[in-house]
Amino acid sequence: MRSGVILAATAIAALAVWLWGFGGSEWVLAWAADGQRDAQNALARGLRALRAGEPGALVTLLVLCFSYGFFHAAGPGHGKLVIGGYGIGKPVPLLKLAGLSVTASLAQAAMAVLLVAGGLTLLDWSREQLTSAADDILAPLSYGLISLVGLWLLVRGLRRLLLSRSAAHNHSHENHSAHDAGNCPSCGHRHGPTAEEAENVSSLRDALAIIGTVAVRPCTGALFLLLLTWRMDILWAGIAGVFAMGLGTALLTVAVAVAAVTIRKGALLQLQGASAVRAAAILEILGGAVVAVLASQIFLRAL
Amino acid sequence: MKHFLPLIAAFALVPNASKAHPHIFVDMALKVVASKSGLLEAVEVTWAYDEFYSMLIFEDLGLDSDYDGELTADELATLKGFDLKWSEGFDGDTYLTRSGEALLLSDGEHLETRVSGGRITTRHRRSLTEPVSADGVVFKAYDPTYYTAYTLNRGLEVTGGCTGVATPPDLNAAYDKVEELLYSMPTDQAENAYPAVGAAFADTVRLSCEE
Repeated sequence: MRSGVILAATAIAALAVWLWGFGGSEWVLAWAADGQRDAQNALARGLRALRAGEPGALVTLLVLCFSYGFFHAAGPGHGKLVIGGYGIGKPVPLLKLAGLSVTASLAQAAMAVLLVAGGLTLLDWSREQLTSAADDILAPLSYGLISLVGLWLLVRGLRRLLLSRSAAHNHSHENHSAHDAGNCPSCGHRHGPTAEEAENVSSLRDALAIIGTVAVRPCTGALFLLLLTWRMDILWAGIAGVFAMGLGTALLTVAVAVAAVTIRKGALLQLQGASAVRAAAILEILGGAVVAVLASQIFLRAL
Repeated sequence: MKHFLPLIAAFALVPNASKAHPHIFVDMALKVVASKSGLLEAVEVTWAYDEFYSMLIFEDLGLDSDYDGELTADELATLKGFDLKWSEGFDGDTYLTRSGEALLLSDGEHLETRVSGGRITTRHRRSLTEPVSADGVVFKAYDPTYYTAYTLNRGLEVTGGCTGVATPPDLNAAYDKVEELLYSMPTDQAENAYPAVGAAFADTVRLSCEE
């Protein structure tokens, strides 16, 4: 069990580095930068084509927005940071996690539309004011919220760890290794929930917290697109494009979530009973701590 | 019509650590002007902006209203020098050092502004306040905050019997730097050291001259 946890902890550390804004292998960064550069150039051509009324231009634009979003998320975005940390730290089914990613990305797109629509129509803001609102106010706010989520996961993990400790103490006369090896599937009493049962723990509040932290800070690229299309009198295409960007971002985030959940599953698979609870708690603490530390540091620097 | 944005250049210049992701992509060419005796006099920098950012600038300045990606002579005159109105604290993203000492450069002197295929390309000259021997001079182009990503992929020319060798950024080292900031430094130190991130992702040109 110890080696399993160490393995999982190492995996979390490795993933944290990869998830980190600049992180991943240098290949990922170079690839993301090239991809975003290409998508960015093509986007301008797509907008021109749409404006000129070329057939199929809208579809082309949406596809471009989608790939822009994907590459953007592969760079130093922060949505994947919190979703990934959440996936490792808490037992969430993959489907739910994927849904969370998509919802968060779409909410982020909606936030961009709201910000631009509100800023342009109500406050008559310039682009500079809009983007600096996103960067100076919303970004620190977002990182602050993310670190709170991390702290929350950490505290929950600690509590669960303490609970499992006392539970293990009460049953210390039992021969745990025999039970855990699976030789006795129905011994009449249980030491704790199985990994599967643990995975069913989740709440709407958890989900909303995650979505909120991601959504509050819209991406600059989305703001650029909205402003451009607004000026070109094709704002509706810009709005559709921003949501396509959100889906592209979500795709990358889902990929990260799949990796996160797979790692977690791998670590918990062989474990049952109290040791599974303890291992899950330790993972939650590690995941929460990684998110809290990383996000706090960005938060402090972004202030 | 709503006033959209008067201060384009200033937009990219506001230092902000949270803007670490490149949002503007600039292809770059460099011409190093050195005298026959190997004195470094100036550098001429070409910036080719990505089409999306070019389009934003057109919109901000109210140019290219027919969206054909080309400008009239009048429009070009309006555009001219748009990226040379540097605000306080912006160094022009061109950095020269010799033996670790920063070399002082003049403000950017406009050489050329072109638009082709929806893409803005500008060229400007930075003269050395005090010419020094070009031998051993190191050139880097970067936005400290990495909001703009510069790539030296449009050519390198060195005059005056000197040669320049371009080295792409060592991305692993750049990551080490970022990780160092993240994991080991106290926050207040990280605050001060953070601007170096852009430099770590920059191409490096080293000049050498024969005696």
